[in-house]
Amino acid sequence: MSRRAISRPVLLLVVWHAALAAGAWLAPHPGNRQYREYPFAPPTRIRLLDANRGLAWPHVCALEPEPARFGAYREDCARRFPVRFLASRPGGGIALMQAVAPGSLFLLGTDELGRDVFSRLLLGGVLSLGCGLSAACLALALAAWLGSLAGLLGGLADAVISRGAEVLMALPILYLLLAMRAALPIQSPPLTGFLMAVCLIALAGWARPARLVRGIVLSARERGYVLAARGFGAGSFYLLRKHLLPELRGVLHAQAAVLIPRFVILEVTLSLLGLGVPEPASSWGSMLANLRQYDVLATHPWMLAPAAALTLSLALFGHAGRWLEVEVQEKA
Amino acid sequence: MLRRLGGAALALAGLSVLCFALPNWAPGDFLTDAAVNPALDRSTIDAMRVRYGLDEPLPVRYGRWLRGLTRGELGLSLSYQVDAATLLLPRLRATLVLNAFALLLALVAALPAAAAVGRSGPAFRRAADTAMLAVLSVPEIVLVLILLATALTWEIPLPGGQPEGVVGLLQGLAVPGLALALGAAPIFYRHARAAFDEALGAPFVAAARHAGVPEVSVQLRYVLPAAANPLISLLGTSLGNLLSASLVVETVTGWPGLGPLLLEAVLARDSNVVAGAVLLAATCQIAGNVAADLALMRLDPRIRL
Repeated sequence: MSRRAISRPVLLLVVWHAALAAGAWLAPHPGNRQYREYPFAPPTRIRLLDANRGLAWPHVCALEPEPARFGAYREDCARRFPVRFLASRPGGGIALMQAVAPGSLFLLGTDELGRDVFSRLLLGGVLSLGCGLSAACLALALAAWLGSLAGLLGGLADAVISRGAEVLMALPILYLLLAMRAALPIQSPPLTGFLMAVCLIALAGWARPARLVRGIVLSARERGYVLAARGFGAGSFYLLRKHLLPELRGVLHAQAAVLIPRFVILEVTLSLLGLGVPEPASSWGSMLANLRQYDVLATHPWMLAPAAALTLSLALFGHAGRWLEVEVQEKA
Repeated sequence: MLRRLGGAALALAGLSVLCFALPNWAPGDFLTDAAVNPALDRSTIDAMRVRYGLDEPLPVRYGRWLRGLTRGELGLSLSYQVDAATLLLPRLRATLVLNAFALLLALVAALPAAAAVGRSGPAFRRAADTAMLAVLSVPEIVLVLILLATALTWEIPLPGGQPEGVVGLLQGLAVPGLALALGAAPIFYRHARAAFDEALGAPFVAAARHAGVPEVSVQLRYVLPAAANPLISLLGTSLGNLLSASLVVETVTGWPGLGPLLLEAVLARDSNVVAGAVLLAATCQIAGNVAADLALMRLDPRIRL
């Protein structure tokens, strides 16, 4: 395999994340801005043909609410508004694309409060994927620490840590998360909610990688060079830092590829159930929470956009994970 | 064997502490919300707290809860004013029915598919594997939302309001069961493909073929038992994932299982119901793992625990 072919899955993953982050920075609308006159507006069509069917600068038609029916709209193409790219955004910053006022451009429609779904999708992506990533880092740090402590010290420390991990793994993880969530205040501001979700997911998910780490440390402990270093009087923490942590790199990378997508799903699930990152911050989960009402789900399919984005992310993670698996096997 | 059961019992004991401590440790309890009610004054709330024993220290309450467990009680549900066990046991049954149905559906779909694909040409094999990988990356939350949207457009029945009997049960099971099964089937398919591949390459299969044993018996008598071990352990370990996914699927589709009740209890701070639901789910998972180990031991005389 050439070097370029090898890194392609990881490259794709990085590009997707970078696109989301850049998109969030260039979001067309502020995520919390409510366009109260346009609740549940369908995705706006960008038109390239003018009234005489000739080619024109991209533009949108005026969106008019139907007088009698809530959430029904018709387009009035007598009034057209050009789309401006990289225009200044109301409330500060630069917007990727925007219709000239008083026209409005909602690429993926709006939600029940008239907030732009596309902008919230980008912002929510950064939040949901960021939560999965931070939780995975925290869980792996915990796992590396506790797992190597258990493997290195043995005895009582090992017994306590291993039994603790077994108890955590005996619970279906979502039940464990809800039980832990029950020990925390139900309502919280968004930032606290985000940190709480990260810590909860990490605390629920460290057990499995910790067991793998423990196994590796146990086998590495008996290797010749480790015994030699010990014989020369090296302390436990010196051994850990110099000889054991480098051994763990492979397994920690492989576990990261497994844990990040799993933790992203957990954050989305928690937020969907109303126990994760609270409104008004947008997470893919809280955006999907509205769909628990059947009438919303049946008539506003554009609200499923976060589900599509989540699936795409997970597919990319799966792709990268499988590549990593093959890579590790070939090295071994 | 005894060691395995002992380990399971130890895990359960640890779990009971965890299940009890977490929801009861919370800042504020069921009665904190009641304090907002202007009709109740401070002394009434304090009296209620004493009556429910919420004023005692945690270890004392844990001891009383544990004694209740031995009598099959899970403690009083403060919002329903009945024992949590009477609330939870019918819900547990519904969850188990749903999970068993989904498991069966996933196995019935995945195993024959894996066997058939394993014997087909390489191009088809690659296409089928890729398709399964694509399904694998769709999480259950998304599956259930898509299925719900489809069901709503095509007017397929959803849980709730079904007539009694088998037909009603199957109608209610359709959407949540299919969502769970679609989530689990690709995993079974992948492992089954690997297991069948390995078994088909084994020398005893080649020997049986050359001895003129008919292909059907080769598959049933030689390949299937050889491939069974990894699949049985997979069943045991995938039970936890299935139960987790089931919690979301139940909540979204309104299937009257443990999930919606647990969520409601977390939001209402009904600690005994939370503890009971989590404990029951954990018991199911541990029982599943032990059952898988027992089945392995029974089917494969080489395995001793």
